Order: sequence, then structure tokens, then C-alpha cells
Amino acid sequence: MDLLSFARGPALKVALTIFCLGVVWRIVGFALLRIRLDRSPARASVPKFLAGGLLTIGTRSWPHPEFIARTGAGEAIGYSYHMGLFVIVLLFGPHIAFLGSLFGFTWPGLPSSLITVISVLTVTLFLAVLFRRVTNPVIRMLSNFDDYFSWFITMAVMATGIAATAHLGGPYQTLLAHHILSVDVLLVWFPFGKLMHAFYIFPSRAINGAILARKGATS
Amino acid sequence: MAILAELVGLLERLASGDLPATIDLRSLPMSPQDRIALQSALGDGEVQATLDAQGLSSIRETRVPGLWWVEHRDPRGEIIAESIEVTRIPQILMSALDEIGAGAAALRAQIANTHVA
Amino acid sequence: MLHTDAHITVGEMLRRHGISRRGFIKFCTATASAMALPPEMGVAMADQLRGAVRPSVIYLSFQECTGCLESLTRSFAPTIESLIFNVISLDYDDTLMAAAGGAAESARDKAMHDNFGKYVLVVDGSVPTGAGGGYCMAGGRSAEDILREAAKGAAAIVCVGTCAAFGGIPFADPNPTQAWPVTAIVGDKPIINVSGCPPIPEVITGTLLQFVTTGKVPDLDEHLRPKVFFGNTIHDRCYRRPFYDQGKFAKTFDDEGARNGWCLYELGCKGPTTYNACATIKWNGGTSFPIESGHGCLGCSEPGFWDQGSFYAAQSAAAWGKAGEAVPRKVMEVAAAAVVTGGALGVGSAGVSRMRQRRSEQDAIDRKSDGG
Repeated sequence: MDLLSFARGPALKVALTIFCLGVVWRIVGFALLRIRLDRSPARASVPKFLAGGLLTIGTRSWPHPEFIARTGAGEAIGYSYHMGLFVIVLLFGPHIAFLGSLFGFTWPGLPSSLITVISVLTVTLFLAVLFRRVTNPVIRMLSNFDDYFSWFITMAVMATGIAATAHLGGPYQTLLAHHILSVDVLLVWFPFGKLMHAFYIFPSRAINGAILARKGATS
Repeated sequence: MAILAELVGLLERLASGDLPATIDLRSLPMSPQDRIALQSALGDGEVQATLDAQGLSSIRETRVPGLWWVEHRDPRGEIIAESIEVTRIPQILMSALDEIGAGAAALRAQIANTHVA
Repeated sequence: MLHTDAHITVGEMLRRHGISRRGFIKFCTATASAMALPPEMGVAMADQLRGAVRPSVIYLSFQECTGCLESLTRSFAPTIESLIFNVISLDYDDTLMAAAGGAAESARDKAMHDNFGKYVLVVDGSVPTGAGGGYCMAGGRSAEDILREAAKGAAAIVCVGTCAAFGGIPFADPNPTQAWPVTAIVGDKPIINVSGCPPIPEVITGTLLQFVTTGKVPDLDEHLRPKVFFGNTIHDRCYRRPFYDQGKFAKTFDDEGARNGWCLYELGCKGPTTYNACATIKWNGGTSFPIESGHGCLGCSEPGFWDQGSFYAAQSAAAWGKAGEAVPRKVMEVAAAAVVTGGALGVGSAGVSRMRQRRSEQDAIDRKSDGG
């Protein structure tokens, strides 16, 4: 079996299986954890603190005015590359066809040349982010394998994708195989590292917000 | 145009006794405009030959002696080969020796028949 | 074509068919041009061939649909393509020859014997080995047997069509006849694969002509296909490439995009991974090729192209399992199994975590009551 057939055949099948299994495992494992019982009287009604939870997702998505000066640049870069990633994954023709084959429906996309521009910008932001991680002493001290590998595998997916679309650096089959293989590795890694923030971020903010709202605090 | 420079080089070599050469026009990326530009640069010379064998072909010397524009077409009229030959005379115009021999034999037979009649 | 005057020269044969030296030079020049050979080779090729005795060619057809031979013989400009039949001495072809039965078989045996070590063996169709070779038998002998014997005296073997080159449709899942390509049966002779379903006729004749003129196998790729014809993908030379680059894809056949000639990627075109000369040489004497006529490339010159998923699903659409099986159902099966397993693991992990949580809470309470 040649590399391309392997990458998008058995390898993709296994990767998607591990991805589904791992994500469900971690979400269920986290959802069934005990929340420490708060024996103080609730300072807000149930609907109010549930609403507070949902509100927190929104409020924590934007920095407080006092911090913007210090964290603004980082936030902007972070938002930008996340949006770039979403646009590339969800609005590129061949990706839409692939996801359509999994879910049974498709949606309109963007011109491929625009996606290429966005990909190059996103890759540049990624490089900037790594630069910061490596040069800032505090962040460097806090960084572990998870941080570097998650960065690396996402970068590999983007770089191989650009190479394949631009037909740069070898026969198309090989470039495409490398791209799909890197996606396979990403899918297998996803549930076991910090990339799970994709699923955790909203529940985590909501739960914290609900807990605080019950205590009568806003955030 | 790069091809003109190449043709000049080949012509000079031919003039100094070197072997003929051919440039296959279909192997070069030429737009229709390039082709027209090349044709007007080389122009038409004194000789134009039409070959009728498995379709029509045109073999004509350009304004530049030694540069022959050869265009082969199939019986449907589609161009199947096009080249510029740098030569004193394109080989394809020469009569084949074996055909000359066969033709001579046929002509001799024809003369013999008319005599008998 | 299949005369017993095996010793006349090519030139004499051409003359009998009213083809002059000049006409033959035209044919060789056009072939040399199509094969990116030096243009001077046209005259050299013509003169060399004309003076030579016609090389013997044995054409064996096994498990095939005869499309490859049709491609070769039903050409649009017969005087050009069928010239190959004047250049070669086609000493055996069970579809074209007038003889039949024992007479045909002994003609083949005689030709193989007389030209041992020098004849070109052309094969189309795959070779089935199932049922003791019973799925393809001629004259009481199995295809595998006939091939092995014919290969012994061949100067080279030209596998015409994807069936002979890679197994083709008989080889596709589930391969009920246990069909194999020629390369799986014969290992010790030079093999040239001219794949395609069918191959373009000019590709067949060009390859044959080059071999009989030079006696040398042309530059081949890793699938043993002549690089001069199979060195580029359809995508590399497709005239609809600007639409691919701009992301303008036709969504259904005959929609607005299709009528404007947009890229057929989403309609299943396998151009990017298919190596062939369709986009340049085209079909029917340069008339058109599938994409130009509005249908995506099937990838017919590639190994295993029948098992690469639907011809109408975009290349990036998951190509799992058997062609035609609905992917969403498979996705649901996989997802369901994964979710159930993951859920079970999650419950297990949560159970362990909760026990730890309870223990640490109990420890905190104990410490408080100890510490006072």
C-alpha cells in the first residue's frame, strides 16, 4: 500500500477513532468530577447563577481594561491565529469536501488563493508565538513537552498543507500524504494534551462563573 | 527572442561547415503571439514546397537562407509536427534512392509497353 | 498485415501500402516530437526502420476487454496510427489475425521460434491464477502458462493497458479470479508499462516505435511507465488549473460552474494524483480529454484506481472501505464504538478521581480537626 492510501485509509481511521474515544474519555472524566459542596447560602437564584455562568464565557473572552496594555498584543495574536486556523480548516474547498464526506453536508468556502494568504499569515503568527515562548524567561520556565509538541504538530499540519496546495517540494502524492499523516498524528495527540482546551474552555469558564455567581460575585 | 539567438548560432555553425540542426517548435512554450512574431521576424524566402504525403506539409525557406520552416499536417489537416531546420536543404525534400530505383524500373516497363503498342 | 513475408523490409511493406519515404518521415517526425526526442531523429528513425526487416511482435491478450486494442486500431487518422502495423510484423494477435485455432497457434509458435530473443511481446489483460488458471484459457493452456513461455524469447515486454500493467479491473477488490499484472508473473525481462484504461493510442505507438528503432527501453518511472508520457500529472497540465487555484469548483454536473468550465475537483477529479498525457496529447487525434468534456479524471493510469473510493467523491473525501459504501454510516459505526469505549473509560477515570477527591477532602477535614 502506498503512503497516501495508508495515510488517508487505515491511519486516518485509527486516528479518528482514537480522537473520538479520547475526547469522550476526557470530557466524561472531567464532567463526572465532584464539585466541592458549597455549604454557604446561595446569594443568587438558580437561573441567575446559571446565567452568570454563561455570561462568564463572554466576559472572560476579552481582557479587562486594566490589563489590555500588558496583554493586548498577546491576545490579539492569539485570536488572530485561532481565527486563521478556523478559516483554513472550515472554509477551504478540499477540506469542506472531506468534512462533508464525514458529516453528510457541505457549505460554501472561500477562494483558495485567499486561504493561501491566510495560511501564510497564520504560520507567521505561529512563529512569533514560539519566539515569545522561547525568549521570555518566565514562559520558557513554565513550558513543557505538551506546549512544544502541540505547537509543532499544528505547525506541521499547516506547513505540509501549504506545500501540498502549492505543489512545492516533491510529487503531489507525497506532499499530500505528509499532510494527511500529520493530521493523523494531531488527531491522536489531541485528546491527551493542551489542545483539549478546545472542548474545556467554555465549560470551564461557565462553571467558574456559575460558582462565583452563586456566591454573589460577578466576573 | 531567445529562439532567434539560438538560430543565429546554428546558422553560423552551418556556414562554417558544421552539421545541420533542427529546432522542434512544438517543444517550446510558444503563445500564438510568439509564433506570429517569429514568423514575421523570419519572413518568406524564394522557395515554397508543398508535400502531399499522408496529408499536406509545407516546407518553405524563410527570408534567411538556410532557415527552413517545416509544417506537417495529417490527412485531417491537424498539425502533427512543426520545426525550423537549419540546413542547406531539408532531407525530406530529397528523393529516396530505393524509390528512384523502383521508379526507374516502372518507367522502363512503361516505355517497353508503348514501344510494343 | 499478418502476411507470411516476414523477411521483407519495412520500406518494402510501406511501399506496398502506398506510403513513400517522405510520408514515413512525417510519421516518425511527429512521433519523435510527441516523445520529446531530438527532432533530427525523425529522419534517422525513418531511414533506419525502412532499411530493416520488420521486427516481429507477438500480441497476447488475456483477461481484458479489448479496449486497448480498440484504442490502437480505431484511431481517427488511420493512415498515421496504423502505420505502426506496417513497421512491425504483427505475427500473432488473436483478435486481428485471419487464422484461427491450430493454424493461429502454430503461426505464433513459429514466429516465436524464428525470432527467439528478438521479438517484442505485447500483452494486454491481467493474468488470472485462480482455479488453476481456468479463468482464462486458450488452446487448452492457461494464460499464465502462455505468458511464461512467450516471455522466454522476448526482447522486451510491453504491457498495454492498466490490466496488464497493474492488474486493472479484474485485480480490483475482491479479485475473484486472483488476477495479477504481468510484473507479478515475469521478472527477468525488460518490462515497459503503458498504463491507461485504455492508453492513448499515440502513447502505445510511440513507445513501440521507440523500442523497435533504438532497441532500448526508454526512461521509466517507478511504475515502469515511460517518463516522457507519464512524467506529469493531469493536474500539472490541466487547462482548468486557474479555476482550481482560485477555488472555483463546479458543485454538480451541468451547474453554472460546470458550464463555465470550472475545476472538477469536487466532482471527483483525480487529476492531481494521476500521471498520463491526456491533458497534452488528448484523445481522438487531439480532440478533447475527459476534463475538457466536463467529466473528472478517473485516474485510470494509476495502480488500484478502481479501489480508491467513488469516482465522484472529491479526492479529499475520506476514501474508506469499499467503493460505494456510504461513508457517513461507517463514520457513525466508528464514532459510536469510540464514544462508548471513551465514555466507559471516562466513567472509570472519573471514579478513580472522585475517590481521590473524597480522600483528599477527608484528609483536609482530619487535619482541621487534628490541628484544632
